[in-house]
Amino acid sequence: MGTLAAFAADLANRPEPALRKLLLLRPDALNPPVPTFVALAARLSTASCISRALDALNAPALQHLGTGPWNAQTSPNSSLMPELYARGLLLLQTDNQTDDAGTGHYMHAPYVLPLALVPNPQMPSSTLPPEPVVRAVTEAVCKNAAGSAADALLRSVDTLADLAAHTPLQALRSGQFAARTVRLVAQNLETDELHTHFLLDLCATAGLLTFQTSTRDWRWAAPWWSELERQEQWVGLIRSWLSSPATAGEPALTSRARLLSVVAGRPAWAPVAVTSSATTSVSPSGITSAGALSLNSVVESYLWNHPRTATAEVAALPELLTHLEWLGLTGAGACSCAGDAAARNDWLQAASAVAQLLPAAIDRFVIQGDLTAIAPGPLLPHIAAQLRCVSVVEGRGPAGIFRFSELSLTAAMGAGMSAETILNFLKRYSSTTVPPSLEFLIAEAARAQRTLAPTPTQCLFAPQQPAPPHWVGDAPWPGSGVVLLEEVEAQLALLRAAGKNTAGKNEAGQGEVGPALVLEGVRRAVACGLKIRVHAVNNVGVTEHVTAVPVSFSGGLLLTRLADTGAPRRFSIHRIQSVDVLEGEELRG
Amino acid sequence: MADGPLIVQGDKTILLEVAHPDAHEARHAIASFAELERAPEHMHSYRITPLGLWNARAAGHDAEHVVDALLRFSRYPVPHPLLLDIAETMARYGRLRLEKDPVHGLVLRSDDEMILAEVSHTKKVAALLGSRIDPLTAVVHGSARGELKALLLKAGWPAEDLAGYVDGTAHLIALTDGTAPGQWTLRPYQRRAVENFWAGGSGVVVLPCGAGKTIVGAAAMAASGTTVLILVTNTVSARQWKAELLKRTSLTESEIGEYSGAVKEVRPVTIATYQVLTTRRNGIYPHLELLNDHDWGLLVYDEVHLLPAPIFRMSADLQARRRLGLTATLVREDGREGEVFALIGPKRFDAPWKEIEAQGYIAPADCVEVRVDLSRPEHLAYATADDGERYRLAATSPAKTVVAQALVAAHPGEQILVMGTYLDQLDELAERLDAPLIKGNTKVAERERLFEDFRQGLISVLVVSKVANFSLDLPEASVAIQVSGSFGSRQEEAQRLGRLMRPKKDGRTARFYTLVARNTVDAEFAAKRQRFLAEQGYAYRIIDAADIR
Repeated sequence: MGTLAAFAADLANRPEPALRKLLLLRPDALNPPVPTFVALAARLSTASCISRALDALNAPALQHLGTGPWNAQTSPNSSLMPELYARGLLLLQTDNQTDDAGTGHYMHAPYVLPLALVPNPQMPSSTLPPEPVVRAVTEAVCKNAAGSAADALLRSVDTLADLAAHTPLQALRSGQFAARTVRLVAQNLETDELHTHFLLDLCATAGLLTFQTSTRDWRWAAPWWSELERQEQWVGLIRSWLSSPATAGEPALTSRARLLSVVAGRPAWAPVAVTSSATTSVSPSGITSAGALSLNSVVESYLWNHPRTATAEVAALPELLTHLEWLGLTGAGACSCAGDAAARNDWLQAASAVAQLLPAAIDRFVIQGDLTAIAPGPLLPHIAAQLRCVSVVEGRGPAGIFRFSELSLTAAMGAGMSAETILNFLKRYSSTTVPPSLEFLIAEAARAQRTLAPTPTQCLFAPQQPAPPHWVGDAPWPGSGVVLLEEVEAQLALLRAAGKNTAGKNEAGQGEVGPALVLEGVRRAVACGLKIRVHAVNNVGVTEHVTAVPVSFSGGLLLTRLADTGAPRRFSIHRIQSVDVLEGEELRG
Repeated sequence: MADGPLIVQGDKTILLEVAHPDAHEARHAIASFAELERAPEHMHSYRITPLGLWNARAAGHDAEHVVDALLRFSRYPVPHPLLLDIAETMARYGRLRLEKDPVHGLVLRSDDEMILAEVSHTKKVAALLGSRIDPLTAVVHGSARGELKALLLKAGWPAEDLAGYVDGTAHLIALTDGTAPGQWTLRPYQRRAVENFWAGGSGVVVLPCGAGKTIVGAAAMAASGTTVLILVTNTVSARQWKAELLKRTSLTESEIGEYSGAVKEVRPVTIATYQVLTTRRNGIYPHLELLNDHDWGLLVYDEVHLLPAPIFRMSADLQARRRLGLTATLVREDGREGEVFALIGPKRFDAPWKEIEAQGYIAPADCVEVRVDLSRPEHLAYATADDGERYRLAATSPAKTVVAQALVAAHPGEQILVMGTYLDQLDELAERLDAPLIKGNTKVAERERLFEDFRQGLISVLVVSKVANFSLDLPEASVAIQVSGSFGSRQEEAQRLGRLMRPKKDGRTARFYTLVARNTVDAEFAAKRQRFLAEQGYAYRIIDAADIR
């Protein structure tokens, strides 16, 4: 039996809870769904899928994988083997020959695994996690820092939304934000350019800003943004940030998500799942009492937990730690409650935790004799928009300060509001009486407006909006590594319906199984010196059937010598439909 | 989330909800490090500045105290970068210290070699330093104490001045207060102001006009028990100080000297005018020596927001003497608040006007802006005038004269001040109102007589130029009509209102009218001028001139 068939048989024999766990740990199998166990085995055996699975392993697990085959009962690291087996990284050998010794089941790795296990000189040799150096951070300080950061983040995005909704952000031909744009945004946000870059990238990643190729600018693409609850806005930003790679070519579980798991002190390879309707039961107290890891500790822990990817990513960790702080995932360096929930992909819990820290939206403001309106918290979006229409925003913080002037009122009237509309609006939403000075100012502005007699234009209110997305507890963010239990159940039902067909005969040349069987056959033939019959499509689309002796297989090219003439013949692997290994016809000489 | 009275903004401002049950406690908690910036009726706003934080450090508060106060009273999470910034800023104060070394005299000492190296690297600082005693200590030229402090403050490393003060010549001064009927007592805020000042050594006390700054000065003098030099804005003010000191202290006529244009007396307590000290002859200031040629134990700077540059310079050389600055409006239109901090001292006490009013120590005031329409010919002249002329044309509109007459008529039996800047306008007003006029060239004796007649009620309307902006005590004045001002000067506006702030015998509300020409630069300047008072919680009513009966 070939390895793929053996793997398929192994999978088919696993009990349902084990399969469920496998699918949670290896979500590649779910998207798109696979129809049979053979297809599942083929999917899980692809190099990229195995590579992703290995990325999630820590140093002892990787070290262990490099030393097989193993006896499940006598291996020195036998505690690791069930977990590796559960992930489909080890196969159980159940045929009679290997079991004759009576020493229990032997394990071996799928054939691609050794190729993926490139020696890593920086792999930590210790099987124990490094001892962290922790700076004490009180829960109050952590909460305060994380809460203020989350609030500032959302306010900055609101400001950016307001700016970009009216002024497209100029970009370079490549789509990068132009330096002048970054400066302009930085001025509006009253922050530095580094932070501005971060916010622009974040909004672009979340799809709030989209690049217009025709005009070469970025535009606000989320008119529904202000309709979302603030905690939902936060969750949306965090999920998109965690699931997008910090550098090009990162695997699905990004370095950002891995770093968060390290800072949160969560096991890197714990299965994660959420349902769209229920939360997992986790202590709401979080782990803030754990304190803040020193940078060195973060790096060491990261190397130990993710040795395969860490080498390339270590340089970016200090910057990513800053980003965690800006996002409110950490507070004063310690993982916040919301950050901890995010590390567990528990977005309902994350939303709930951050909601406790964010100022609640309010629908009232006070108007003062110095011609300012103060909203002692974030105003409901429609009230804030209307207030911005008649005043000028001052200051930066949780409270909104709006200053009225003759100019601002005249501008509002020019935009179509009447003195009566303005007064009615102020009287409706102000918790204090409108001071006479402001009433007089409105009358003066109306008088000036009548003198100028402008053509009324449409007021800059929020435009009609499409429906907003649902970010909390709904479908997983692409690439976030989050799996919905519903998806897992659907996949299991599909496999059950297909039955335990593990031969793969009917699927040769179809779907993902065909290429996997081709690869397996070619590799086995090359390794064992077996003749093969190749069924390949030539460059004019005609299928050829060639018997050949494989010489080598690399770079997607199979080099053979034709069996009858000995002439060399190369096949591109993508042209091969199927391969029959001619058993017993070993290459002689 | 706590439901505190404070909202801490990321831009280093703090909003205080006045009606909140914990507002009073929160105000106290932040007063030591945050500067009250605006005090309108519902939400007061404070600003956290390096100067404010260093003021707090100078008063013995550390960063933990500040952070605790913010976290305790804040309604929402406090921006963490702000907390870090506070800690870093406060840590800068005192890293450099001015000390008295028994061998080398005045020295600048640091606990960090790099900081001393950094500040010594600048040419201006290097010129004031002598040899290095060791890597952490440098000798300072004795006369450079003030200048060095000012430079270090600018460099962001404010030095803690631990070099002490000279004792000054001892001279017993006692307050005449007491609890017996008929006796006066020091008000609680005055007592706290003096205590804060004395504990800090030198510094500024900010109190509203009419809240008794002179008494704070007298109490500080009593605490000092030394000879005192008091610097005031003009001769009338000098004489008011003298009268007040005679009334509130054990000092006698013979112990108080006046050093003004008219008289040059140097006594244990000498009151000198800024004007005479800054009189320049042949390129030198002959009277400035008064500051340093006598062994004063205490220097009092009245209206410290007006302190002229030569006095600043001279004050740099007076760092060994205790200094008390008094003002109602620590708003320097020239932005020299930093020099006040470095050369006079940190702010030791500040009380919002409305808080003092609520306690009944100053009169409530109703501020009214009266909008006046220019006539068509006036408007034409205004529209075609040069920019430089426009304000004068708008501010001196004859239409205002008519309105001022109507306002005077509307307040029969009240003591009315008509205030302005342009003398032609004031001359005309005085004639139309049949009222005496006090301006720059009015003799001091004549001024005093007119003011006294006004106090006695013999004159009910007095027209005054800006000579009456400051330090004028007219308790029964209850109406002021401001017809023109010095462009957008906030402190002039506040000081003019201040003339009405003495509590009235019948508890009457003072009326402060400002006449503003509609649709002109006069209205723009008026808005700027009103900012300080509006920020202190004085809401301006705006009415139309046509509505005045």
